[in-house]
Amino acid sequence: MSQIDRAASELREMDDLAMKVSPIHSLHPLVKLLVTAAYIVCTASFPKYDLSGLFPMILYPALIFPMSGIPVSVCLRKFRAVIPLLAVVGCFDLFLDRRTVFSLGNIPVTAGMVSFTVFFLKGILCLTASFLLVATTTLDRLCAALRMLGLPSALVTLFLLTFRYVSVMIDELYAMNTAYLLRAPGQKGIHYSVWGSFLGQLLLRSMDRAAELYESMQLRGFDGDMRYAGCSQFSLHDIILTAVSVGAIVFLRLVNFSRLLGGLFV
Amino acid sequence: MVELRDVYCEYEKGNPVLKGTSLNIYDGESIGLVGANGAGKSTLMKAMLGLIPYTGDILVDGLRVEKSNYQAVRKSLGFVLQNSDNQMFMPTVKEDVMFGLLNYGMSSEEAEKKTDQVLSDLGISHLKERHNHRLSGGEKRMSAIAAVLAMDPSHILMDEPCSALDPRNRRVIINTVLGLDRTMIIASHDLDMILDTCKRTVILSEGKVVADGPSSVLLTDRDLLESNGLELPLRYYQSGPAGS
Amino acid sequence: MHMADALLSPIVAGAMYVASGTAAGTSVVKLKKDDEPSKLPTMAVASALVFAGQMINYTIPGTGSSGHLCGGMLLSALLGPYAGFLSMVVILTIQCLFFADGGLMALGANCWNMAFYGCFVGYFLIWRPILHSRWFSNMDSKAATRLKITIASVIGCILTLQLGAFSVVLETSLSGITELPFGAFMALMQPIHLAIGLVEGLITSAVLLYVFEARPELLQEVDAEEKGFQNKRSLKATLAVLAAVVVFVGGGLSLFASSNPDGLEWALFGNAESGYSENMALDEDDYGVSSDVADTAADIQEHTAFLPDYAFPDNDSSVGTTVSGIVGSLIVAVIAAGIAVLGGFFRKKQANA
Repeated sequence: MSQIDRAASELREMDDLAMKVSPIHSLHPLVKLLVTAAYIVCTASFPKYDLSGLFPMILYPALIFPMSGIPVSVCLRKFRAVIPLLAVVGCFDLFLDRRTVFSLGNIPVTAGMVSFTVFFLKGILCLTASFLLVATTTLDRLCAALRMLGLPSALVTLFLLTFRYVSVMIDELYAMNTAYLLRAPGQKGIHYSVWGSFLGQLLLRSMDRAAELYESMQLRGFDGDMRYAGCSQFSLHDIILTAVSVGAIVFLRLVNFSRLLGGLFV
Repeated sequence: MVELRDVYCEYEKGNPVLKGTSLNIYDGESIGLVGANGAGKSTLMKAMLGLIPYTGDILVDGLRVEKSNYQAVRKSLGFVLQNSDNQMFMPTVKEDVMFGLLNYGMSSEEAEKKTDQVLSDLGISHLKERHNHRLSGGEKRMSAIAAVLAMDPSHILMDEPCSALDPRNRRVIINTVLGLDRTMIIASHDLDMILDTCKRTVILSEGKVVADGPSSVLLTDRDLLESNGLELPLRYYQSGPAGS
Repeated sequence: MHMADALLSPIVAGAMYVASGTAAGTSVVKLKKDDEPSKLPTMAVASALVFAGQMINYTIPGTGSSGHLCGGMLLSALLGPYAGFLSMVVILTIQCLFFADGGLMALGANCWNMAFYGCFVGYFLIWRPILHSRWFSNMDSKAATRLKITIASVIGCILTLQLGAFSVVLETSLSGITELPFGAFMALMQPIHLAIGLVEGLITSAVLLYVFEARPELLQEVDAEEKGFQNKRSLKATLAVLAAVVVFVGGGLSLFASSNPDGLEWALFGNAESGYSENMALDEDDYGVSSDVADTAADIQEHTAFLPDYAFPDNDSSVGTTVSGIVGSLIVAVIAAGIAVLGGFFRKKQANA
């Protein structure tokens, strides 16, 4: 049952990272959101054999990690969710596409090897970019940026409320699960005879909790529309910064930067 | 001033929780509401806030508690819930304190100023940017009080303000309550705390007021307390439990 | 079933964002129109619960493995399809942002695959028809409802997971990301999700049954009789609806498949590949790519991509470019290291200032 425990500590970890102070943290959240989106779309759009074109995209995390002071090790741990998926889906390329495209010394490099690497690198880079966004932006600021983009307030409110109660529920379930396992030695999970009551109990209690939560919102004047403290204006400075960053990313996408550099020397 | 006249309240048909409760609460008073589990303390508070339907009359500063008056009534009655997690529903303390202010039409700047002031009055300015799910029990309770205080209610209702707190945090809350210059209505099983904070005590039993008077008199009356499912406050308890 | 960004092309991902966005927009409007704000806290608490509940292991009797909870059916049975969908969207977003489960670009696709089917298809085509059906009308009404809840949960979870898994295969293939043939990918995904769906359905039904015993009013469509619901469908009518769905889905698939005599997999797999095979100067017949659908899709792909498909150079023709690419990449690596050092320096300088 380390999973639920781990989830709680991961949430705490992300909180702590987002509360840090750095030039990246203090950027307007909308800048970060737009640049991240541009980066992910550009990275994912590289053709499947364009390894040399894709490779310079690592410049982005190479810049943001040190500037924000986010430890790379935390990000590496996030990879565990995606690496098996990438490996399973990607490995078929290795077997199915075995035409040799060039040789590195005596080692023949197949098209499948190249496309596998491209696929894998894309997955890692996209994940890293969204990790960096969340690790450098607190949730309330991220939500303010989403509101600026015109997301309906009901959805953003739901997101904020849910996030708040995720940690409460994790605590409750963790306690229940511990209580269960302490009295059920040797079991790895919940026995099927209590499948329903285990979560069902908590569900019923939670519905009462939701009612009380709604009461406490009403008592403080909630009438269906959420009012936010909001976020600073999107200034000219922010617009320029976004334009320059997105421009640089699109440049890397359109121009094979590796070959451009290599051409100067070879 | 809050007046309750012959209030009946029921969650299920034919099973009333309040059975004709009458009570006057005058401005500036501190009232301790005590009684065994299920005596109707929380229900009484919820009825005053218009959270559950009732029959009879409840008047807050002369306004009857009914749908058309909810906004005004809730502006003058602040309610601190027993479970702070249910009260602090926004991600950070700042946003939570600002929530009510923004809903009552304050601008963001004003609301933030007010938030800063309330937090510093309570001595918890350092919690402002903290995430609610990372607060300790005591910090949560203080932040919840701040969220209610920010709205400048003339009356404050508290449901078990000291439950599940360690002795030091309990003392902090008691001192905070003593420092609040409002009409206080505190429901609790912690009779020592009631003795410290409330001059007047109301004992509820099975939905009725069975005793109403100075705390120093009611809370030293062992027979009265025990017949209503309560015990003497610890400080009067040196002689050991009754009968031993 | 969470897809990573790398599995999708931006075109497919964008299309899925539009699809899920439309569903979410409709849900928000619907929720505003026929509902009070009181539902928001309930939705938030329920989705937080499902989020945490998905991390609990449920041991499957007779095996060493464990199952997990299926969120879509549970939430839509509790909250209705619109609120359920929005709650699932929020869950998937939190998983994506804080736990790296599924990519940000793939979020639209993930919402479609995991939330849309579970909430809308599961609710309108399974949950509601079955609970309103006259099945088991010879039994006492409570026992009948219990059976109906169980059947609806199990069928619902299986069907919606199958649809979800199929969509994953479809979206990946349309994106032209992997060499894995469509048919093989499908053969890999569908049976696994059959088993997963069955277990998730049983867990979901167990939870819903518990709620039904304790607080039946919390479930959608359950108190239909007492609310005077007239439109009870017979078993036959319900089966007819289900049959229509099967025919529609199956028919659609075979239509797709028949446009290419070599079979479904090449029709879909080939279209993304056609540009590549042309550039590789390979014989198209080897791939069996010749359908109109494939050509059109390839056209779209080519016109919408930033650059026409980049072909890997042939062995003998352009070794030079390859070498320059490798050398360039090495230089990029050095630059990256340099930037990293400078960036850290910059941050520290600002922190000190």
